[in-house]
Parts: sequence; structure tokens; C-alpha cells
Amino acid sequence: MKKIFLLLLLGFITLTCFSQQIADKQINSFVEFLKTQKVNDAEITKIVNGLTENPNLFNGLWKNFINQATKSDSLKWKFLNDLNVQFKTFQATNNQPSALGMTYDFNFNYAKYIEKNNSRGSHTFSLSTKGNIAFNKKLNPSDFLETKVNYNWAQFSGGVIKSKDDTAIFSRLNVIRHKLAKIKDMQSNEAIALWSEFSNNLVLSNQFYYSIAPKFSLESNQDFSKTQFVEGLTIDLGAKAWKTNNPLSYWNIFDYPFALMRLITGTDKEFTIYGSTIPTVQLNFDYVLPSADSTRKSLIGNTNPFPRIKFETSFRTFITRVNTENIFFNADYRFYYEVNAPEAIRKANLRSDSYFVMALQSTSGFYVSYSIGKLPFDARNDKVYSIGFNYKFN
Amino acid sequence: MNDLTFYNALGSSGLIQQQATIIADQIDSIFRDGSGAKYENGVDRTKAKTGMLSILTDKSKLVKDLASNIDGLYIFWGETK
Repeated sequence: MKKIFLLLLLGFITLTCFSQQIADKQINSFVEFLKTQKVNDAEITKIVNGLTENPNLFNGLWKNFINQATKSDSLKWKFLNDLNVQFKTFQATNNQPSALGMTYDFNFNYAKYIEKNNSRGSHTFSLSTKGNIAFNKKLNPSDFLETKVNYNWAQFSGGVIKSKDDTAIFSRLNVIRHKLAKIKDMQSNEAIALWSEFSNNLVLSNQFYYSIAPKFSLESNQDFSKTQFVEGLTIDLGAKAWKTNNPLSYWNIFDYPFALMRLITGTDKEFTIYGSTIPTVQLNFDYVLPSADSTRKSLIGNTNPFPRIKFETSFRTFITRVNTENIFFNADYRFYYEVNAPEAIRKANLRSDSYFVMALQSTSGFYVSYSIGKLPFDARNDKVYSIGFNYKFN
Repeated sequence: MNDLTFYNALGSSGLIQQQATIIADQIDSIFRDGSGAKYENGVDRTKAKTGMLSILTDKSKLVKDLASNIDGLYIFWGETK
């Protein structure tokens, strides 16, 4: 393995105009030097063999190669900037001899953005891989290899309307920002007037977001006695009405009772529906591979893969401010549905699962919550009321 | 971050990431389209959004952490070094 790597490295090197120097200067020149010192051939072989067990030799070669490669004008070696390689000696915990190896960490991100007047699209791809490899495979460490691949296609529209007279607007916004930075009381008349002017100059519009991404995940219960690998497609949908009293915000029916509470408590001077808290949605079309699910096996006699749809939506809005405490309402709903579930699964009421949780929460950590339903792998439906306090240790 | 209205700690990590992505895009739009900011040298849209997302999805981070991060990503209108 070590020889293969050296050959690959040297082969890699010889593809470029600069590499000859590395081999010449660091190995051959050293051998020549030893010969001038009257060292016999057997001793030279022993010294060179010792050197090839030393990670510093490989680190030196690698560093030299990277320096030369990234200095060249060619873009073909640009990806090497994202690759970190370090040669090291692995020492096994038992009485095995130490072994030469390498640790590597490679992160590659690619993104293509397409911006138009009122929309922004993107394709993003990322590959990250890291690990430790001993050149003697019997001595590979336990944290061997880890590789992640992500792809996402996303589209945004709206958000901010560009002004035709950019320079004047930008300059005015800049002046307002500087004035606001000097004001300590943001509830003062001066601050309120500046914020009002700021929002009049910064024209916000409805923002829409949708994206599609492949999904790979592992689901399990808490003791990992039941596990399943899930692959599929995730679709995200989101909308925000950033401007007050925008027609889109009236569709946020979940915020109506809280708008009333904000009006009653004097938090808002008018009945105002928050378009920025419209619930977002995530849809998953999954293909589930139940590798360890004893319940499923006992019901249908196998753990064959099955298709599943998952739906999740969440909502959070501001209720009121009590002294220095901000009070929020939070809710989350998840629904899982097995498509074409076998008869035994349906009769056991395992075709679908749903889980709903809601909570009142203050910024200091106090909360009251209620949850109902179950997630896949939960043993039974539960209704849980809880009250508590989260303390932040700074 | 979990004191801000967008961060619903009851949601799955996928939903929190989704909300943070929408906020990061809106912040980027407000700065560049609405306020005339440009990216710092060596920063592009990928780096700007990735940088903001790393803060927005971390419930232990504060707004000042986000501000500090953003300061390194954008050159604001009239900003002098």
C-alpha cells in the first residue's frame, strides 16, 4: 500500500512540470550524498528503508507537491486546496507494531447561482470525506472513513424590491443606520421615526421558497434495537409576507388568535397578522429499508423495504412581552403514512403515525408544553403535559 | 438564536434548517438588493449563506455572533476600512 501510494504520488507529480525536483532533491540527492560519505550500499538501503517508514518524509513530499502545484497557473490542481493530508504513525492499542498511514479530510463545495431581477435559483453540491488509513490494512483505526454527499436545488423569489434610484436610497439608509446606532432607547420617538423612514426606503415584498433535495437518513428508537435506513426526496415549501397588512399574511390563519392577544395586551396597536410566521412545510417521499425491526418482522414475516410519505409543518409566533420577557407560541406536527401497507400492518394500526406538540415558551427558559401522538418506533400513543424551565449556562 | 421568532425548537432539524435558509436569503437580499452592500473579497453567495446558516441554526449563538459573522462577509454602503 505504501509503495502504491509513493508511486501514485510520484506519478501524480511527474504529470506536472515541477515534480522532478522533489524526487531528485529529497531521495536521490540524499543517496548520492551518502555515497560521497563512503556509506556502503547495504547501509544506504537500510537508511532509505528507515526513511520510508517515517511520516515526515511523506509529509515533506506532500507539502512540496502542494506548494508547487498551487503555484502553477493551471486550474487543474485547484481542488488540492480543499484536500488536507497528513501522514502519521498509527500505534495499535494491543501489542501490534506501529504502522505508517495517513489521515485525510476533503471538502468540496460547488454552487451555481442564477440571479434574476426578482428570483434567485441555486444548485448546490457538496462532498465531504475524511478518515484515517493505515498502509497496513490490519491496523486500520476504528474511525476509518466517513463520507457525505449533499445536493440541493432551491428557488427563491421576492423578499426585497430593488429601487430604481439606488444611490439616493442606499445613501439615505446609511445615514439612518448611523443615527440609529447612536440611540440607546429604541422606543424613543426619534428611533421610531427613523425606523419608520428606514422601512419606507427598504421596500419588502412577499418571499417564496421551494427546494428539492435527495435524502439519506437513519431512523432508530432510543436504544437502537430498531433501526431503518431511509432514502428519498425532500421537498421544502415556504412563504413569508414581510410587509405589514399584506394580503398574503391574511392566509396565516394560525396567527389570528395570537394577533388578538397582541392587540389585547397592547403589544400591537392594531390587529396585525404576522405574515413572517406563516408555517413552512416539508414533504418527504421515502423508501424505507427496515434493517432491524422486530415488530414488523413478527407481523408480516419479513423486513422488506416499503414506500412512505412524511409531512411536517411547524409554526412559531410572538405573543407578548412581559417586562423583559418575550413569550412565544410554538407548534410542530409530523405525519407518517406507509403507502400500500400490508393487511397485518394496517390491522395493527401501524400504517400511519402522527405527532403533535405545542408549547408556550419565554426567553428566560420557562415553558409549558403538551404533546400527543407517536413517532415511528414509539410503543404507544401518549398525551404528555409538561411544565419546566430551561436555564442557559453562559 | 432560539430566542428569535424564526427558530422553532420543537421542529425537526430539517425544519430549523429550512427556516434558517429563508432568513439567510432574506438577509442577503436586504443587504445587497436593498442596501447596496457587496460581498467582501473572496466571499460569494455560497460562502455568505453557509456562514450565516452556521450561526442561524446554532441555538447557542447570539445576535452579536451573527453580526460579527456578517461583518466579515459584506462591505456595506459607505463602509470604510
